[in-house]
Amino acid sequence: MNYFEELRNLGVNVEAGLERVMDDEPFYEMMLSMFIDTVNDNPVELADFDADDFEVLIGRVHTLKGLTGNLEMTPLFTGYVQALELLRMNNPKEALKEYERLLPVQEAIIDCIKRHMSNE
Amino acid sequence: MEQMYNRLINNTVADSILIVDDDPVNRKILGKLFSTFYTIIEAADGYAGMDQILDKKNQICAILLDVMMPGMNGIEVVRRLKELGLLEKIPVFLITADNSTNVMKEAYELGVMDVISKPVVSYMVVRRVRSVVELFEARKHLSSVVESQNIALLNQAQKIIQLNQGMIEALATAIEFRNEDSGGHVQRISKITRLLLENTVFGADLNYKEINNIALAAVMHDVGKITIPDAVLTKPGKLTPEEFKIIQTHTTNGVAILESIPQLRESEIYDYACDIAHHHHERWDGKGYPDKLAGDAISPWAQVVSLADVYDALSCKQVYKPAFPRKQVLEMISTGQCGLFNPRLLDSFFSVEDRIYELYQELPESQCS
Repeated sequence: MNYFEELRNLGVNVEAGLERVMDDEPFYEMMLSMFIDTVNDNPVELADFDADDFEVLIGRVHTLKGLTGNLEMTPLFTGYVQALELLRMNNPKEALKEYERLLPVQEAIIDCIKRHMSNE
Repeated sequence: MEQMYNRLINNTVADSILIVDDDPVNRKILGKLFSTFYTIIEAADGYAGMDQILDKKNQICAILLDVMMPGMNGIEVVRRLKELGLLEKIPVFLITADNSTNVMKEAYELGVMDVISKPVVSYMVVRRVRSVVELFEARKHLSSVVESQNIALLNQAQKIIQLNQGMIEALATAIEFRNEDSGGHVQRISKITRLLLENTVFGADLNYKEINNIALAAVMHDVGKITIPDAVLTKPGKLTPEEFKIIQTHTTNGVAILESIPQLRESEIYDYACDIAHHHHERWDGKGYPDKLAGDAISPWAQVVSLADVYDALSCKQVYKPAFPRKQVLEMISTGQCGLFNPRLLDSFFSVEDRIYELYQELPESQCS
């Protein structure tokens, strides 16, 4: 399956993402590959939702929310928006549920990006 | 004025956009959008952003600033920029995913140009930023044009002032030459007048501009001598009472000449010039001429020029007398042999006479004491 087609099937709004970078496909692909680095640099562990202090977690979720929004990864973006709001309302349990909901999609998107990168 | 010139010459073109965001993807995307129009400078946090701003403030035409960043956040950067007065010079755009009213309110109150929501809509963010940058650049260009026009006007005004001063001095010097003087008398009177007023209590009530005007007006004190016939003006011997009466008319004739110059009437030196020309031969005891004014009825500037005139006449060779030695000059003045002067003025005069005497050291020996 075509790279962008696969991303579309995972809920990524590729057209809107491309529009954001002036329809420069190679550039958009480069940003997608950088997404993996950012996820690695902002690790979110399930245990973090049980911690007393969410400040670091909030910072990381905020970063991922911004990034997924920019790349138009709609299911991830909406999930991070929800999770962030719940954390700010001091509701880590519900935030965790949101995160658990988006996590498989995120892993699938990362897998798709990695496969494409290794094919290049 | 030189500083203003240098500022204009060194005016660097601001063509760079600074993007401050801790997320490299955000920086790359914004950089991509603006790289067609501007040079892109990136900073990964508020501290690095501040370093770039302070280092390249003349090159940066806009700052795109993330709010949530580790270390110094966006709002703190804006506060620092406000403290440094840079918000009026460089437009700042907050690019934030945090749409809370509090953040936006504080940002706008601090003076950011705009708050743009993340994820950005490319055509919108480009249009909004470019419009403001163009507006800022146009405003900067306009004020730079106004500034250079102001400099040109100041230069012209300065040239006109110098030309006027030159004309006045040339006219006064021409009159002196009739008097067989070397031409330095009027300049010395002007210098002595300035020196006395600037450095003694006698000029304490006058500001710099007033002293300047008085010193220039002093140049014209003898302008009326142009109306005195050569036979009287350059007569080597003692004047007859009739001839002395003719000489005395140079004061009132001087005023008439000054009154006949319309441009001078509009000048700030006019009143001083007329008063000095009219009354620089009055004496403190009322025994001078033409109006026999006494005491404080004689203006301070006419008194100063009067004393300077006597000092110069005694110190230099005249058609009717040789130059007197300094000691004799001072004795003649202090004992009232050339008419009485205001005691306060004499105190001031003697306190700076050493410096006045220096003005005569450059004159040929044949002309001065």
